[in-house]
Parts: sequence; C-alpha cells; structure tokens
Amino acid sequence: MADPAIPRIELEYAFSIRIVFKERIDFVGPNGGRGYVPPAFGEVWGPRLQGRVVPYSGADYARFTDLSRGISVNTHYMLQADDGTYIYIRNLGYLYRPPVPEGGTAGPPYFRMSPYFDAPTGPHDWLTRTVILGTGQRRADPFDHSLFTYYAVR
Amino acid sequence: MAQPDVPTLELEYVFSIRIDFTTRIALQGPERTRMYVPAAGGEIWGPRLQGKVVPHSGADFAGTGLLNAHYMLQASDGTWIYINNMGYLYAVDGSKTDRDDPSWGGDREFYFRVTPYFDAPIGPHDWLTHTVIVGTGQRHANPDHTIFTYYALK
Repeated sequence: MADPAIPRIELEYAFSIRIVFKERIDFVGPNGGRGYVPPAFGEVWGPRLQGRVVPYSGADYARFTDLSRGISVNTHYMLQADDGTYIYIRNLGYLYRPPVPEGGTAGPPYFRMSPYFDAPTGPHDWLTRTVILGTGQRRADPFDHSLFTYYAVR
Repeated sequence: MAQPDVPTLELEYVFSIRIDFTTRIALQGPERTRMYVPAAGGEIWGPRLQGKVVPHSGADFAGTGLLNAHYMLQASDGTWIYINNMGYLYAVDGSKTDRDDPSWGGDREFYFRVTPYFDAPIGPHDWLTHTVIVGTGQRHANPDHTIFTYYALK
C-alpha cells in the first residue's frame, strides 16, 4: 500500500551551535526527574545563521526517570544573530543511553532533537516555518562543551 | 578554533499513517487562529509499526503557523500509543489555502513537514519514546485524508 511516488526527505546543513555549560542541576521528585542546565555562553555559525547564544537566557529543563538511561531534552533559550536579531529556540528531543549488553561496553548515546523557533518578521523568519533536525555531541577540545549540528528538512 | 566536522545524518523509513477526516472547524480569534480537525480514523503500515488510528481519539488543534495534533494509535498487538505531532503546512509560493477545502495539497506545491513525539508502554514499541522521527504529509480529497510518511533519524 506504500506509495512509491512519495519523495524522500532531504536534509540541508543549516548551522552549528557550540555551548559551554557550567552548571548541571538535577533532582528526582514525586513526578519524576527534572534537570536544569543553563547555557553559560556559546556561538552559532554556518551557512544559514551566525551569532551567539545569549548567556543564561534559559536552560534545558530536562525530564528523566533514571539518569543512567538518559533524558528528554526540553530546552528554552535565546539566540542573537550577528545583525542583532533575537531568536527564541525551543528544543525537544532525546539523550538516550541504550542499555549496556551483559559483559559488553556502553555504546555511544543517541543525542537527537527537533528545535522550533520564533523570530521577528525578517531575514531569519524562515526558522519559524521550517522543520529542523539536530544532533548533539559532548566535546572536550579544547574545553568541555556541547556541539549541536542542525539540518533543515526540505 | 577549527570548525568541527559536520556529521552526515541518516534517515530510515519506519511507517506510514493515513488519517481520515470528516470535520474541519476554524476559529479566527483576536490573537491567533485555532483549528479543530478531529481524526475520524485511519491506518498504520510499514516496517516498524502496524495498526490503526483510534477513531475520534483526538485532533489537530493547529494554531497560527504551527500544526499541533494529539491523538491515540493502537498497534496490531493491542498496545496503545500517544502521538503529539508538530510541524508546518503551507503553500511554498505563499498563497493562502482554504483549510476547509481538502482538495489542496500534494507534496510538490506545499511544505508539509512534521516531527511527531510519542508515549508508549515499556515494551516492543517504546523505541518511539526516545527516537527523533520526521515526516512528510500529503493531502488528498474525496475522501478527505492525509498520508504521513515517517522516517527515524539514526
């Protein structure tokens, strides 16, 4: 019953965001786990967007049950493009740690997300009508940071 | 600082969902537009999931510019699955669409892209709760229905 005429999804690299986190808070309550990880600072670069992460403009208010299995990404913060435009980013996704097989070693975590944006009418408002997918990686070169790579879905 | 490599993303077709519609309500309010488009029923097929859309288990409550659907699926093995589908649907040339007219649509002229989020019980379908999935939509008329084709982001 699958329709062979349905076109495949095309991805186009749009921009990268590098963020340094200095605080990582988490606790478990009656309704489950909550994280608080605010961006200390960061920068944005790439073909479709350049600028910075507005320091301490929000956080990943992650949900989790058991941190060893990972978290649900639940992020709100602000970017500022090089032309001064403020952009709101709302990020949803997963940092999932697959169970370690018996006698085996832990594989890489699955760190993927789909951000939604608000931007003023203008050169960045394509962000408010384009589905975007992202990957995350923890990096240590030259200092501890997270690197997010974002792709527009055509 | 050297630019990190941009990883290549891989997509894997996982399943398709056809949703049937019989009612379309639009509210034009002072602050925003709100739609109510209930799911009358539908079917799910594909390599990773088979089953049905539970009739009248929810709707697309789209607001201005953003699709926002909540409803229930039931897998062939009886498992209940919650879906929250977000994304965008608009004519690429910027022309207005009459949302009461189901005959508009077709992937080429419209940008119809979605990112669904799921809840499922612990079991064979819980991969849906930690995998980023992206979909295309295609509108059809007579009878009024939409076909979504979903890909997992690996």
